[in-house]
Amino acid sequence: MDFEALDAALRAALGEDMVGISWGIDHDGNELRVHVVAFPDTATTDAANAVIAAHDPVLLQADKTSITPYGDGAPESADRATITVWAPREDAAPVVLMVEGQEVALDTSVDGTDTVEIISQGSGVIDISVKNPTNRCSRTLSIVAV
Amino acid sequence: MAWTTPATWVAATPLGAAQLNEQLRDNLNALKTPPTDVYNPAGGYSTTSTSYVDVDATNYNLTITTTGGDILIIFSGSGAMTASSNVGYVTVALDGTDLHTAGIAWTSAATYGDLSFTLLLEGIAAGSHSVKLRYKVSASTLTLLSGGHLAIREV
Repeated sequence: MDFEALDAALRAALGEDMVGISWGIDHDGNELRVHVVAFPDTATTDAANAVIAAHDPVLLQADKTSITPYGDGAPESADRATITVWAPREDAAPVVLMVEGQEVALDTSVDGTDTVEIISQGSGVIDISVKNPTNRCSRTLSIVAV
Repeated sequence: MAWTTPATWVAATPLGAAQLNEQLRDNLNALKTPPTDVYNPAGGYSTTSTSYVDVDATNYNLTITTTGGDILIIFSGSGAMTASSNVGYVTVALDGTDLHTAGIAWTSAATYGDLSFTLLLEGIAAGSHSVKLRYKVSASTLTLLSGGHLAIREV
């Protein structure tokens, strides 16, 4: 679960009724709590449940935050950052990353994970995010090539 | 007292004081006092950072050495935003990596809300593990009052 993406989606659905989210534990493990300003009516509860059911998280993790540009060297031996993508739902939608505005399609159908390696010829900041991030991913990773 | 994986006993296995002390006394003591660390701050904290920062790098930074398995994290406190249209976020970092999977997201400028989370991290490898409380805002200021509580325990 990406709790910030879920929180944003719940706020969009519930509007000013929404106060926040937090976590507890029930007999099955971790339990999400949605806080609203007043005892929720059926419509509010249904709207919240629909957002939670649709939550399709994508978690991004980089093994490093900076890389060395390869310049005139060979890309094959370039310094690289590995981005691990995890879409834990068994029925997760396909994951497409946006890497400096370019779409990179991933295959998370096997164990929910896939990786992509980032290299750079020149200096700069490479931003990596998830395409269509609503209710999926709140993060943008930045890899600095320096 | 360290935990020792319980032995599998077979017929005619010699049983002496050392085995009993290790398997019964020491393991019961280990269960009675599992690795635990707690912090109860005397003062409050606030942030205007829009990226996660340590609430208190020294004190809200707990460490336990585990034998491998699950870690229970409990945070409770009171907090509020200075503007109700903004969101404050509280999470923890395990071994230096922010947990984006769980935390608190909160909007309430009118009154201080009770903020808490209880999180069970499963399948954590044996060894030393640190848990830091971290927070950020979408904008404005998130204030955490004194009287908060962060605890971690191997379970």
